Amino acid sequence: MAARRLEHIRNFAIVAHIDHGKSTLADRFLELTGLLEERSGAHQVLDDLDLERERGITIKARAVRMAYRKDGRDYVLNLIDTPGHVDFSYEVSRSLAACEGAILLVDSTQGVEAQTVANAYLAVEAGLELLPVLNKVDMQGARPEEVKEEIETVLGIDARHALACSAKTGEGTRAVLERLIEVVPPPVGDPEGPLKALLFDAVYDTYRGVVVYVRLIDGSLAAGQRVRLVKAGRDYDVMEVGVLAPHRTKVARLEAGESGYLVASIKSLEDVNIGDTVTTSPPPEGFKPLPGYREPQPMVYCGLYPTYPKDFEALRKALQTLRLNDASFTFVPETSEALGFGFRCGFLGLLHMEIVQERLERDSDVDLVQTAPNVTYEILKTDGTTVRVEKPSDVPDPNYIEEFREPITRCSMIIPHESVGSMMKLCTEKRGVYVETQYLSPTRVMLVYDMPLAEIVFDFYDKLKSATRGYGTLDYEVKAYQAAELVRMRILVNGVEVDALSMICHRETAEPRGRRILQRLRKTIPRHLFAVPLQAAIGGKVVARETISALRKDVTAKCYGGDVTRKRKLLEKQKAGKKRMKQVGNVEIPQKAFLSVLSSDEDDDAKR
Amino acid sequence: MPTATEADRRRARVRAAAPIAHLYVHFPFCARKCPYCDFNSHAQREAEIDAYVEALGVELDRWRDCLAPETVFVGGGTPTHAAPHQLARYLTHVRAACPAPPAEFTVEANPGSLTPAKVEVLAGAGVTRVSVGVQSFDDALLRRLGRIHDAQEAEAAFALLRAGGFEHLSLDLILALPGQTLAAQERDVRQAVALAPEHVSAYVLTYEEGTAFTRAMRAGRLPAPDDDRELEYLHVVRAGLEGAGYRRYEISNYARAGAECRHNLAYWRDADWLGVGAGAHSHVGAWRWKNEDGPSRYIAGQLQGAGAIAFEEASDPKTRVLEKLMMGLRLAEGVDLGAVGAATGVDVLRRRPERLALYEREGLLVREGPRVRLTPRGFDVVNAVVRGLTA
Ligand SMILES: Nc1nc2c(ncn2[C@@H]2O[C@H](COP(=O)(O)OP(=O)(O)OP(=O)(O)O)[C@@H](O)[C@H]2O)c(=O)[nH]1
Ligand code: SF4
Ligand SMILES: [Mg+2]
Repeated sequence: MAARRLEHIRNFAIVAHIDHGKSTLADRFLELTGLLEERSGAHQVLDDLDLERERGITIKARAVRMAYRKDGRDYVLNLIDTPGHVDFSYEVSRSLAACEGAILLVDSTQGVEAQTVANAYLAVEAGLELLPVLNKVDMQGARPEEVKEEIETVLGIDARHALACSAKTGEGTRAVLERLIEVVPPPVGDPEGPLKALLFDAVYDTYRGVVVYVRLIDGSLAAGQRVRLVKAGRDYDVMEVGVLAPHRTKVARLEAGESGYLVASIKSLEDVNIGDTVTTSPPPEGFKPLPGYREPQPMVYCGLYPTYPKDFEALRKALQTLRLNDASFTFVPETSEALGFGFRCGFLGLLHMEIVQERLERDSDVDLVQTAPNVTYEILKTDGTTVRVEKPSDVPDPNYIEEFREPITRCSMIIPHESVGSMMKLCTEKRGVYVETQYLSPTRVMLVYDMPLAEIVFDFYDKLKSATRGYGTLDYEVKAYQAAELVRMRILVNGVEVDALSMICHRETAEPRGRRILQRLRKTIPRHLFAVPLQAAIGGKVVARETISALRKDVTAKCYGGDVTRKRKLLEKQKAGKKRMKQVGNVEIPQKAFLSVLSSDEDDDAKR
Repeated sequence: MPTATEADRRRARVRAAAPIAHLYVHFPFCARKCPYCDFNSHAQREAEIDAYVEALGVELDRWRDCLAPETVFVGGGTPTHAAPHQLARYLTHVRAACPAPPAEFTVEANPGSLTPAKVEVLAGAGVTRVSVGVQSFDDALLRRLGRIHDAQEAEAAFALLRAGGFEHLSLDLILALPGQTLAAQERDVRQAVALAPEHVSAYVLTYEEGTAFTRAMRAGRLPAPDDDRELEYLHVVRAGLEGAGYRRYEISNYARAGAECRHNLAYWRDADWLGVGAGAHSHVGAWRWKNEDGPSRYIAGQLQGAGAIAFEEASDPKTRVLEKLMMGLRLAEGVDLGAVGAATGVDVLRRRPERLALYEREGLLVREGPRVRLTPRGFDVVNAVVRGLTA
């Protein structure tokens, strides 16, 4: 009886490799269900963050509720558009936890790619009904039959009856929507039971406090109800509930199986935890919270510091606010001798790091200094304990290190067969260990390597792209920590160690790397009134040195009475420029110097 | 357009500081515009000179009750580009604004524009000092600089002025010209010394925004400035002049003992002065203002109203410190930081002791009690030192 009331609900996500057309297909669905005017000419309306629009990619999963009538029955369809980039796969797995089915969208000109595989497995593991769909059939190079075969070979999914469509022209998209309704099962849950809802997202609204997005498993939710946020143990009175269609639209109540939002003037950001359970206050007898999400494991860490120390608290607030909306990055306060008070932040990848930093700067007006990113290491100490190392300054004295371990990834690359040679060479350079090759089709190959995360996280993706003329794709997952010849390299500027510049690297490559970094620093740090020596050292041993020679000339030839105002303003402007630099000892270091550790060798070659 | 009350307030401020001991007069006309020049100077506008001279008279008359000039400096432009009778008339206006003959009365002159008649006018008007824009003795370089004179005319101008009885002559040189060799630079210095001027100003060529030289440099038709080369030339010139007994009393100025330009010293020592004429700046206490640049607007403003002001500003104490240091540290005598503190309430010695010590260690400055002066190496990087001390 109870279950009947959920019969008309379908919760589904669209998953795919990056750029295969998920957000564009979502546009068509919005049109078919009347939320968007047909042929509106709008593009990827669910990508509503400024950064998403600028970069043309989806960064955040976005839920939307649609109504659709089929065979005389009214359905409620909850769609989640997910991002395709590997850095955001946590968003995908989060989305899948709120769905019973997923469209696996494959660009029929490109075929199966690395994130097609990764996301398909995520959906299958989550127990979802998977509906393969071929997209972009309007395009010249579409080869739907071959791609169907690839899906079967690589994923082992029956693709004989896979639908084909063009998200761009709309051709075939109605059939996709109707097939979905047929094959995706309705949610199971008890609308009459006590409230149990999954808190899957949140966003801060200056006027209304934290707006919480929930998927109801059991029970119902309406204004006036008192609810508990389980992790924080805090109770709130619900002031409004509504659905996303695609903008927040107030409704009288939400029921089991549905998704929507609640507003309860939640001001304290710490109370809201993504993956938490929302229930009644007090919770019902025998209440068990939902399993929530597996905590994402950051892959890359860097320090973020306010350029001006006074902005520290503003930065903390900005990080908290952003974390509401992106639970996949972490931050803890840290101090650097060079940079003062800041935060050590963890990210899922470099794009993720870049996006978070940009969102922070835009949303908060805080000028940031970012230190070079590093991966997490493990150290087995001589006393038998194992410690996690998230920043170079955590590395103990070499005398106490029994084993220095780094994360190794299992790395799958799907590439055109003619690139196999150059890719294998690249993987070897990056200390990769060959695992296997699998032919997807006569022309496309999946190459599997085990590789240190530190090698792939920085510039590997760019190199892969150029080695495969843009066709290669990459997916990776950390599988183990392995002992390696790692060292901590310190950088000294004018005799003072700049902790924010030190790094962990492989012993064999330390010396050339140190030299390159010093050369870059020599170019980015402006000349001072005195010579500034630069050194790279491992333990007590200096492995590279450079000197920034003293400024020799900075003088205005003519300066008389009439020049005072103009020349003074020039000096003031130059002084303002210096203020933005970080003062370390007597040396002023510009923000970009802290990133010189990051840029790859090609950057230097390109400048030559 | 300033309102009458603005002008009144300005006048009240000046009167409170009166009498003002230093007067600058601007003459914005030249025979030809030099391609490196960003001064307020205009070529082919001779028809305006008569009216301009009248406007100068009006403005000088307006300030008369605030002035008791010990020094007067008539600059340009080319003050000697006026016809003898025009020159005589405006110098008379200037003298009329001085209750007593100024102890130092300088007029800038260009060799190509000096005639016996004009030299006679200068002498008759009480001018004590003439600053001659020689720039170089290399005719090819002079042509490239767009100058209307050659080396021979420069020498002739000196002879003429000496014959006219002038005991204080200054000679301007421009250094590190494009295409100039180090040997040519040394020759210029020797020839300058041979004319026995009492005072030499030697400026490294500066590429100023908006000039034809800068456009040519950006287009690659002139070499870009090169710090190392400029320093080398500057050091050669300094050695040559110091060897000949001139003292470098300011970064770009050298003089025989007692022949320093008192008027310019007033600028560097942050004294009060009044400037009259198109685009002239004035400075009284914390206040600075500037007349309208365009001669026509200047003339109209003086003849019809209370004068046209391009801008006016008052500096806060920290800005005053910056001004005092950026001007004062250019002088060999340096700056008395104690006096700066007393005048502005900002104690540089207290605020930046570590920088002072560092720069002293680096051999950029010398401290004698509260007084700080730059060494020759400090002069080369004066801007950076000033930024550091006022950061
Ligand atoms: N010709 C053609 N182009 C399409 C089709 N579907 C999407 N595109 C284009 O493909 C590009 C990527 O589309 P998106 O919808 O942003 O792709 P996405 O999968 O959402 O990308 P991410 O969210 O960044 O992973 C855009 O330029 C679309 O216009 C299609 O059916 N035909
Ligand atoms: S003569 Fe002097 S003021 Fe006139 S244009 Fe040449 S440099 Fe400028
Ligand atoms: Mg998208």
